[in-house]
Amino acid sequence: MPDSHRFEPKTATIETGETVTWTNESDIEHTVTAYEDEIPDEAAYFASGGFESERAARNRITEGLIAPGEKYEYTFDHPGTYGYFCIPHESSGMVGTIQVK
Amino acid sequence: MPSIDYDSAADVTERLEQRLVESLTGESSVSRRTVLGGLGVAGGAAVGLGSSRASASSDHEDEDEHGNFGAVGEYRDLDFDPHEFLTAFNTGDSGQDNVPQQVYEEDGRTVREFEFTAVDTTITIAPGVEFQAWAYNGQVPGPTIRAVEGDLFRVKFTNLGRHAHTIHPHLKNLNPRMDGIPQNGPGVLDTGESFTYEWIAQPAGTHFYHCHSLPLKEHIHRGLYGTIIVDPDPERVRENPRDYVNYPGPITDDLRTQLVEEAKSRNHEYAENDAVNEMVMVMNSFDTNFDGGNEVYAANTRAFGYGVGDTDGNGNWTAGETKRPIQIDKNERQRVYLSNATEFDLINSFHTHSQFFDYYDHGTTLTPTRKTVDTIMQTQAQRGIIEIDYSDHEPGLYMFHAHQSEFAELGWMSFFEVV
Ligand SMILES: [Cu+2]
Ligand SMILES: [Cu+2]
Repeated sequence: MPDSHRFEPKTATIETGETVTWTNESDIEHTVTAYEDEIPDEAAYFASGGFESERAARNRITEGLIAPGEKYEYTFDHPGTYGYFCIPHESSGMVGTIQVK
Repeated sequence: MPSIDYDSAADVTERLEQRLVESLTGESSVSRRTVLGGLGVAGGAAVGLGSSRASASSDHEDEDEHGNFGAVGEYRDLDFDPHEFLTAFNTGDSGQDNVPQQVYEEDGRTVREFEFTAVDTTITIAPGVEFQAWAYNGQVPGPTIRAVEGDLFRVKFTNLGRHAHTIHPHLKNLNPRMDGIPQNGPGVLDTGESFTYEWIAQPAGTHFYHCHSLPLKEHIHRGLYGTIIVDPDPERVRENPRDYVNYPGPITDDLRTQLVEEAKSRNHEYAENDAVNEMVMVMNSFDTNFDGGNEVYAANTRAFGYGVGDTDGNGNWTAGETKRPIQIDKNERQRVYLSNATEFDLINSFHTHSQFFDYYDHGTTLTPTRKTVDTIMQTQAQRGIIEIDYSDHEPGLYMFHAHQSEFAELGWMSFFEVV
């Protein structure tokens, strides 16, 4: 089921201060995990599970999983480009970008 | 000041590495960053995760093509350090942060429990060259797990990846349900499924685990493999010395004592083991364009990872540089737990320069199966223990590599730096 391993849309554009809601519309678990080196320098790290670093998120994968039907929300307070991925499906192409204007 | 030796060794590594990276990234190069940044999909404040709606953009197909390389440059992923991996043993008592583990007694047995997950992860196999791996706990090779013979391995496995996987142990396992093959027990585990494998740690030796889903060659070469170490129990060796030698002659008291001492040096719970510098190496390879042949070879994933980078010539390598020789103390005994995970090629090999070593095939004996050799070969899943003594050698660089010259030049070339 190639369709259940992606972020839709892959790139989303929002205004500073807006909140992005990720909803798991598939029947398997995913994470939303920021690439630490692909977020603006002044921005805080974000990941489902509330981790403070990419390392911690990768180390404790299961705590960051978003179950089918569940949501994860994050409010972006700094403009810039944010790269993020799903830890279990990174190499299956499950990566995305948030552009904050 | 770097000596001439160091400079020229660094030069050669650099040239080979560049040639390898260029051959891989040529015209089909696609940087993940480029893919990430170059799209103009209309924005919104809601993102579907794992959406099953039709995609508005067609980039997904392109992105998903095999052989997705990053730009030529430095290693981006700091999650895997081949030098840390060398000595990362997970015993239940202690181990890596990405391997939840504990040890406890149950029914008179020591249980060493580990949590394993399978994920689809991107790994870096040469500077800027990424590989779309499938990995246990996000790393290739998978975590090294270690127990004492007679203990129980309890591995709680959850498959989070896109494809169905298993864990198949090369141990003497008495329960067919626990064999980790599609035809037995729980069979393959689909995305989201879990199963707890239990294996008695036997026989003493160095062993191998891997995914046994079909097609097998794909599941192995994508990265689902690792090392199991079973330490001999010195008390059991004292009682049953015959089980640990490939020798039909009499077991004298001297021989028995020698075998018990050897078992202590192999057992991580004994002080004798601290005197030995132990390293885990998995010979692996990567088919980066998925054509059924390997483009990159390595010991522990990184092409030339134990090659020569920048040094001041006194063993001080440039900070942050993961490419450097394996530094060893000439007065310490060196032990390598070696296995071969290479897919597609029939064999792999391990050769030391200016040095001979003792080899214990499968590590199941306490006397060498090959004494004083400088080259051994292994087929896939074969493994063994290599014992090396550099105490006679002058300090400096000593190469070791696959003696398939092709493999060596495509990444499986390494150095010990004797200090
Ligand atoms: Cu996912
Ligand atoms: Cu598999």
